[in-house]
Amino acid sequence: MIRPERMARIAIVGPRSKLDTVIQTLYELNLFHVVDFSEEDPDVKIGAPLEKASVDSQRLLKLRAIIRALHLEDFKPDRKVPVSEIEQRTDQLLATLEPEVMDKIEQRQEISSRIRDLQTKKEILSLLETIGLPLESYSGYENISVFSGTTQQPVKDKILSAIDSRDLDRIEIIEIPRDADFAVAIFCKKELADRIREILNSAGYQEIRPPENKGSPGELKARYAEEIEKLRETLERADEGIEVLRKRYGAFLLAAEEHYSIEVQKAETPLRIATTKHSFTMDGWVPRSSYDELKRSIKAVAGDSVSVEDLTVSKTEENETAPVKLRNILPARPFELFIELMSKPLYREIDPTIFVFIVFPLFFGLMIGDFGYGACLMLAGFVMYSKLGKDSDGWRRLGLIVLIGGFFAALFGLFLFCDAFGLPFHPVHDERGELVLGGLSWEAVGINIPMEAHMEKLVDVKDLLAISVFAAWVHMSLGLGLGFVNEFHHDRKHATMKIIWLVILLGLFMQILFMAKGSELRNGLFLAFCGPFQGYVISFSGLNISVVALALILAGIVGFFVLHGKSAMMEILEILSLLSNVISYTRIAAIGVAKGAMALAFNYIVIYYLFAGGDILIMIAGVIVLILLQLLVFALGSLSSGIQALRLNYVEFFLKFYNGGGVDFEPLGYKRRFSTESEV
Amino acid sequence: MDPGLIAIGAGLAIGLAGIGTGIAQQGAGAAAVGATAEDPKMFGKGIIFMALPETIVIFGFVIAILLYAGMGGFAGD
Repeated sequence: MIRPERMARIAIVGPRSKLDTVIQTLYELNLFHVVDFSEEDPDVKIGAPLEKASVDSQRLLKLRAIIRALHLEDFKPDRKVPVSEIEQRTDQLLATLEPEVMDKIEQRQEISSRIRDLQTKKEILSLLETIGLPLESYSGYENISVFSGTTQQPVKDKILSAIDSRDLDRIEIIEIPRDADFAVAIFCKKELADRIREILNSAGYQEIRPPENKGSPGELKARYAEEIEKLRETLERADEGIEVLRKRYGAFLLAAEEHYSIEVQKAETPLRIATTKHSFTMDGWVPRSSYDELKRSIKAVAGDSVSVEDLTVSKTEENETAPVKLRNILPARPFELFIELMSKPLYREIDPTIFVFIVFPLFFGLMIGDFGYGACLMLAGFVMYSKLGKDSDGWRRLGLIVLIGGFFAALFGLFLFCDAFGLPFHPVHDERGELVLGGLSWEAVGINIPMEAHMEKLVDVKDLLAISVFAAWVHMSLGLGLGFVNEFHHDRKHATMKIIWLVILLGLFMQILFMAKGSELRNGLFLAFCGPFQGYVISFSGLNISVVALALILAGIVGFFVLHGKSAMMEILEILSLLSNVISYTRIAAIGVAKGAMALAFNYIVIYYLFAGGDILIMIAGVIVLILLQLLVFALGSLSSGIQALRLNYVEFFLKFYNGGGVDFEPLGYKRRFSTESEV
Repeated sequence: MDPGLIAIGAGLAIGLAGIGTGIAQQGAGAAAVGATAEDPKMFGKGIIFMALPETIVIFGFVIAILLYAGMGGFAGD
């Protein structure tokens, strides 16, 4: 549980004739992590793909082309297709369906490109319609140049002033302003053409070539519009046809694609193993606990000709090369997500999942600490788990984490802080006995919940800080302890360092308790840890320093010098970062207080200002505002609590013992989403 | 000392610490998002680097609370 699954390095050796069966069995077992074979020599070579690989790849190619053409990537199939049906029907279906689909798609493309084409023409015609000349007037001249198109700036005056007055009757200019540009048609003598083109170009001229037709542009445009309308209808029918194909074959095509992907993967497995002319050797890892099962299963299908041998590698080699498979009790498994986000532990390391499973919900719950938000989080977690989690393992696990975190938040909210949706159950008094925020509470709005708060977020801030520091001591001591275990067989010097840090941490913690005395809770903590030594105090300019705490820290510093000699100075400076780690845990109090204060302030504003007047419209507005503000607090609070609880694990905790970087255990195997091996 | 001045001090402590954290996080955050976009496995390390400067604002918070308590904000003690 604490360490990743123990692995055994095994070799599977047998005749080539049995290779197919063995691969098939290994894929079904989902237990064997192949170590890729790479050192070829004249006798031992990398295997060749099984024969069926090429046929299956071709099927796969066609299937994928059809799936892309039909846009089935986001298709939600309504049934799982049995493998027997896939193997029976695929070839026959591909033979008929492929041409049909490709035909339909091609048709569709043709229609839509024809529509695009007509639309461009239509746009040209609407420009010519603005100019108002019949289409035949743009062409068929010998000595006249024609310009037609659009310009960004007006050009008529520019041209008229640029040409000789003698040429004025040798040119005809039509210029009509439109929304963003000008429609222009110019007819002139050929000699003037170059000069005019120059002026046009400087005005942002875009030529538009009129179609070779006769008659009014408006009529032609209407004809095109009619044609486009008809084509649109055809396109719709084509789409319907494609939709029918999607519905009818979607589930089958996705299932077939999945099945043949698996088959190709199986068929290409020999590329990862060593073969000679007549035999094969597979080298890899199997969980030690499943070794017998694997051996038995292979024996059952392949008989005595294939042998499975435990290679019994050395402890060092096992530690350095074995793949990592996490192994945790069921409720802790969702939290493996956090470990994977960071990086898998090394094979020899401790798997911290179980500790994250215990600590994360506690921290998260303390920071939220509200019955209402906790209940909402549980609901949100359940929705994530059941709805979003259907297709995604990540969402499923995150949903469970939120559910567990929400449970603790509700628990703390109900029994410790006694508040829901930022509103305390009963009026809160500060330590002078005065009402906080006019006694705003559930009781004040008429709902009496018979629970008494043990701690008020807005009053007992120092107690919350003390709880945070206590959490810091427990959590980091655990981290250092795990660090000691991790390093013990690896590097004794590092392991000793962890012990020294444990001593210093205890010293810092005791000194903080000395300084924090005051309330019942803090005095209780103080007596529990420093009770016997409470008399040993030296005063230093008003600050009480515990002799025992000082002695512990000094002992740690001596330890540094013994271990490191002169370079101990660097380690001594690190004491400051350990202290900052401790203070870092006070974010538990900080977020709890900040979120609680924000929610209470919003409640106060709405209840006292919007509801007090008694105006029904303002009250309705008040309800809407209240819901929006509550959503804001809920979203911000949950997000920051989640990230901060995670950070305390990642930074303050993990960095005390965790290396990470283990190789993932990836056994031969597959998961079917669309196809199924059982008959339906 | 005038409790008003102490309260201003407490406000400055957390406010300035917040600005400091913000400045530190803008660089780390941008880099972390970039690294995660390139390789999703960087997410965990990204969170660490992103969250490191947050300790600064926590220091501010602790000092602010201590000042507030010293001013008699929670009374009692």
